[in-house]
Amino acid sequence: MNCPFKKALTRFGFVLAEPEEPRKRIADIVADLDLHALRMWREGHQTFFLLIQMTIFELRSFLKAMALPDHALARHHLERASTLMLGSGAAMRIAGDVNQDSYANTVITSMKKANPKFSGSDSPDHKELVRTYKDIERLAGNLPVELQAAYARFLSAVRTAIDAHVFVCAFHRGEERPSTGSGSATKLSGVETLKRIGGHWLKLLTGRTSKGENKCPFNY
Amino acid sequence: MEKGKESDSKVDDRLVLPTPDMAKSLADDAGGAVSSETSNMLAGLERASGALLPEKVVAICNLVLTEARAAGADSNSPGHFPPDGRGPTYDFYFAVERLPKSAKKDAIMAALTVATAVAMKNTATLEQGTSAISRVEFGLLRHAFAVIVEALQELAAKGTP
Repeated sequence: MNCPFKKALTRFGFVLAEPEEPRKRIADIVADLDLHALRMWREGHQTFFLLIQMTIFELRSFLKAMALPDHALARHHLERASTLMLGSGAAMRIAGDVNQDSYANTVITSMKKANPKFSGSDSPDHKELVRTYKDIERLAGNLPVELQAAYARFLSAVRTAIDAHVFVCAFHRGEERPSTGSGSATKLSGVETLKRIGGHWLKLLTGRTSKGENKCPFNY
Repeated sequence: MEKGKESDSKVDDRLVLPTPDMAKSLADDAGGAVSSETSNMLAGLERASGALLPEKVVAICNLVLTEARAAGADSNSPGHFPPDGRGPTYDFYFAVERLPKSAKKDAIMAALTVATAVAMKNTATLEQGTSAISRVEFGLLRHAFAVIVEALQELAAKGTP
């Protein structure tokens, strides 16, 4: 408890001044944790962007092989896209592997400083990935039997990557506050927003967005 | 805006990436020569992706990055601050710089190779320490990096006369 007379009592020698050292040490530790959080957040995302770019490359190669048509080549690219997508989920876990206070006080603050509605959907790589999903949507209901198992694995990898985002968001109390991208203009929590967006991607990839019917044999 | 100051202090942390359009164009048309420097760096990354110990991965990636610096492959970004806009701001925040639109296949391949070396090194460094990331997740990332190296090597081979 703070004593209102502490300053005067200290001045006349009735109370010993508290050593500054422990406070400084604690402040240094917090500053280190905050720096570590910012570094993990940046490095994890950088790895994530690389993996997403290469996923775009593999999915585009998959579409090109489908157009030939060369189904063996298409499966090869689809399998690679699945591995990269699973890796992107792990990269997201790295980005979010920081203590909750540093995330709340330093990472969120820095993102809002950059843009009050800072959102992952502003990433150019993310936008291109969604455009690629839209091109895949047309194929979703017409995949040949020999590609269906590989496509099911890809959908599973996408779900795993979405779950990694949701996990990171929930760990950082994303069930209690709106997503940073909304600029607090919605009542939806960050976790709910991510689940909705992820659900939309899976609908795209299973061809369920346009006519409300499930064209794809896989129910996600 | 204090972007200049911030960016100067983050020069070593930035990652030069192609634009997503360039990743698309690589899939559409793999033509174009790839330099011996890029091929050598890729051969180094192949060794790194086969290494069992994370410290070995870090050591090999350091060699690849030294080679990249010597070849100037780590500095082929436009080097100017992005214009205002949500996409560029997002990139700026994460210290990502994009290749100029005029970049040819070799520059795109070199940027992806250097970015892979940086990502592999950072991940292996983390793997050596304490974190909440599981062995399974590190394994997934290692597998993903190996896939990138394999894909880039295939692309490089397509450019060989």
